[in-house]
Amino acid sequence: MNNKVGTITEIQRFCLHDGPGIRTTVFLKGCNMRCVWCHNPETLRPTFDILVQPTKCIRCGACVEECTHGARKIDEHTGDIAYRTDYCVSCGACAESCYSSAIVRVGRNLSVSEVLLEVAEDRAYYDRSGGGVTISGGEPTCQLEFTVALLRACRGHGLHAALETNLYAPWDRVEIALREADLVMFDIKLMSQVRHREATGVSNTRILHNATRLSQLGTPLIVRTPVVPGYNDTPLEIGKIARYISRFPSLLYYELLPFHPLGTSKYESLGMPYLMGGVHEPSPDSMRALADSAREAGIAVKIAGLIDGQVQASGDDNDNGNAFAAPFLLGQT
Amino acid sequence: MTTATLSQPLSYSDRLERLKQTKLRQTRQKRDRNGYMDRDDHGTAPLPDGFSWSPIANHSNGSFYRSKGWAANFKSLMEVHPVYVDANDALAGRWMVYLSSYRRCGWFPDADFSHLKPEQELYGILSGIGAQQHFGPDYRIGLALGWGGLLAKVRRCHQDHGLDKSEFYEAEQDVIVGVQDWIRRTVAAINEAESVETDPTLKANLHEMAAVNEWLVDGPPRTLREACQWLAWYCMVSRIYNGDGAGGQLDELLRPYYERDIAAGRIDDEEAIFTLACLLLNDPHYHQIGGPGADGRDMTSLISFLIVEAGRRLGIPCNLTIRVHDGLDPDLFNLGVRTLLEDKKGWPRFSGEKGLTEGFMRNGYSEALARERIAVGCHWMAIPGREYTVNDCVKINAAKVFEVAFKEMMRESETVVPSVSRLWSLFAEHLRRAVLCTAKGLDFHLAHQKDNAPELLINLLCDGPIERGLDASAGGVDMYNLCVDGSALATVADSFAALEQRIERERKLSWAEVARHLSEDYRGEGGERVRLMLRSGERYGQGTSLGDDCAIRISELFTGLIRANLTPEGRLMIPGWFSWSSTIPMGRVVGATPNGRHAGAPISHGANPDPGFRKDAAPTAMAHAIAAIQPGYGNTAPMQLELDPGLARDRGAVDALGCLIKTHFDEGGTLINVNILDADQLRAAHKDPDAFPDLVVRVTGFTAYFASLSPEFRQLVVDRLIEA
Repeated sequence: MNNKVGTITEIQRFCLHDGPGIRTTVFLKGCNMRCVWCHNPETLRPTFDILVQPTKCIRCGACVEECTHGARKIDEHTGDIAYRTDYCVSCGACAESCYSSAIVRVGRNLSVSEVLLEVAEDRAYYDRSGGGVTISGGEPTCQLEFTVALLRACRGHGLHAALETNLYAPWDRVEIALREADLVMFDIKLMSQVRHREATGVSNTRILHNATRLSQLGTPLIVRTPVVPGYNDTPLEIGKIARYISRFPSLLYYELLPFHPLGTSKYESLGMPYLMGGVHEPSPDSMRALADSAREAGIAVKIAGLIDGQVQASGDDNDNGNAFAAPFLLGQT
Repeated sequence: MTTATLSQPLSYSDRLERLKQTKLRQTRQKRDRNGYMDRDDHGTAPLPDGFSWSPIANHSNGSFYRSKGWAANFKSLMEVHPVYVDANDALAGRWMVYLSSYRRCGWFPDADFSHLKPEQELYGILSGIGAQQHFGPDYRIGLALGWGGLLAKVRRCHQDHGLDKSEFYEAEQDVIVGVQDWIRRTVAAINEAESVETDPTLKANLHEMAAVNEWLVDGPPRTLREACQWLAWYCMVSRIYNGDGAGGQLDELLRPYYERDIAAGRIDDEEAIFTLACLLLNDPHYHQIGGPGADGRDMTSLISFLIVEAGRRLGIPCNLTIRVHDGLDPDLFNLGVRTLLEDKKGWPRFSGEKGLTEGFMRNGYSEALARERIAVGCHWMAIPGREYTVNDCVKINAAKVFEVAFKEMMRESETVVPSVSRLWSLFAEHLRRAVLCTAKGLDFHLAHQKDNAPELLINLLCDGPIERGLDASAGGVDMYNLCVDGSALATVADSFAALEQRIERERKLSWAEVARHLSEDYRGEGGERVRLMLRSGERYGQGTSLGDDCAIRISELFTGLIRANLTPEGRLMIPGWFSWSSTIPMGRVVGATPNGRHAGAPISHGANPDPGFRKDAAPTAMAHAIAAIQPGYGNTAPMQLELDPGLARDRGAVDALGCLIKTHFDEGGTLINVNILDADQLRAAHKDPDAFPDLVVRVTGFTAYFASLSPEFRQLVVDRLIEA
């Protein structure tokens, strides 16, 4: 079972926003939704992606020699390396030869055992902080067998295992994964079917249905909403979601994640159009107002990791906008 | 004179703000006059214009040596050293000049160690020969006796030992008399200031200040203010004498005075905090709070919290350490973590008592004794008053040793096929020689240091030197556990890993190619690509990587070599990994290395992985890696963490950082230094330091004003903090 192989975008240690305590988040590659605000476009496709950052190129020409598909060529006039996306098959040979990080292959195939070896490194930190491992994406249920195997392996080794999913899959298919998780975190982005389809490419009918079924399993739940200006940043919309989830008995809390325009450069590097240009992060005041409207449903609410009640009690008007923030250890990236 | 401009009486907060502004102004003056300073601030005030003093030579080379020379010069300097009184301050005095800086020549020339120099240079050894202080005084001795009591003790012991040790005892007496003279002159200046002071609060303060100091000329301190003033005098004169910055278990030192004052209704907590703040302002000594006493019980008390609060109100460089053990008061620990996160001044730092205590016990010492051993300096572990260590002064540049080994292997490559295995053998052999050379240097230092530069100030606060008539460097104390640090761990570990990965496993490079690129500093054809290839391999800090394996092997080798032997004269050496702020000069003497480092670039910092070690830069990965390379004999291999202020905005940050600290210590970690700095602010401050005069950064074991650091060192801090 532990030889099962998955395609991993990234394994990130010391995550503080993907469940309780200090966690390691395993980002799986491939997603079945296309949210227009997605800040991790490199996780969307199930296959490897090639990120290109020309400013890092040292013009060594190694990628041109390695590419057997003619996707890399040296411009005779400028000496720059040209990238023909239409010829590229994302084999990653060019990235393998590039040590300046001008070309980076996103994605690697790892077995459950290999992932387990890496996530177990921080076991002592999980134990002390009440943390563990979070399997995220992309959408982990797109690699269902691997996800189930990894959840089982983590739990089998005494590691708290959380699943972060969009719940967009037939119940019969995803139930097995949901039952294997110690904690499930999922998004409800919009209550309107039509608007949900416009924003994510899919209807939310299945998601809401699955959410209700999931809530009956008794697994601890965290529901999250990425607050995106122009899409769902109204007390009305957030209030609707909050009321919907307030009937889930195992809900730990509802978390609002303020949108951050952090994915822009990734879209450029992937050669993908960025549709959120000009959209800014919601203001701290507006996030607080949304949290207030959610709290009217009688549930605990956090803004990107902060329990709102605690914020008010301490008089701290801390806004925190770290939901999508980069790792915070400087100088090491 | 301070003119009263407020209708309300001056509050402690007003006075502290004035003192802080004065310090900022003085810091700018010092930098403008003396240039940049890549070490801690030391609390000096600028010398007044026109100050002049000339040392009295007692050697044909124009310098001064031995007890007699040092005492005569110290006493002479103290007779003219400016006095300093600030009516806002609870404490009198500032120190302004190092006696050592007046020595025309360094080491005592009659003791020649030229026979050691070739290997010292070959291996980049900082030998510690001539190193002063870097162990710790037991402040309890001074607080109990006062200057008068110390003088009486010296005279009594002199009588006991007769005339054969007269030079030593007379020197110690001269030193005390010099200190008393300085305090008396200060009292006169306080009285003068009081006579012209118009602000009633400050006038009353000066009145009390005069009484405190008049008493302290001879008497032992009786109140918290007197105890703080006594500590300040000792710290100042010890700094003047030879730069000593060792701290002590400050909460326990001051607790009896605080408790007595509170019980008697003499002070309230606000006054206590103000007085403590003035002590921390006077000099950023390396004091400790919390932690286990000899019986294992936690020493945290109310004054531990007041000391932290005093430091927070000051907001200047500070070097307090919280000693973390299982029994530590959780409120003090949380306060420490919150202070780091909220104030972002790089303090407190944290020491891991489990690893340190268990490590020191491996040397054969008792648990009670091990618990008394504290981090009295940057990474100086020492038992105050009882152990001579020369911590932080003795370093072997492992990158230089590696370079010697690599060049030798390539020279012999016509007859012996180069390999990582062969390189390791040569590295181990050269490291063995470097350790032996270092050990000989330590013996040499101890044989002659009393003639070169005796420890006349620290001797006074040790168990033994005065009683025996022997300098602390020459048999005065009971324990000689000599620190030997390795430096450039990540540089060497990553170099070994890169060679194994790229040459032997992947066969992407040959030994000859790497040698050529190193000799060309990666600047020849294809050099940059090779450099990047070597740099992007399995590095130390990634977790279960080749680099991690190499770092562990190197640390085990280094530790084993040091522990396998005593010095030739039979003294114990204790290994650690630490570079202090010497990464720039230690890197300057090393050519390009196979970890992709250019010739002359700084070596890696302390025990830390090099920046860029992991894409996610996980501090847990760093903490785990550094815990795994601890030598484990009671000296430190500190972890330097650079954190983004975004963390501080997170309510869970205290728990997360607290967990990180405690788990690192559970895994054997020994000392943690943390910076929480905004990358954009740091860039801006690097460009225009004067626009950020109060930006404090933790450089290594010490904190400093960023604006006081040299541009080269500022760049290093920026590189360390921001994407490499």
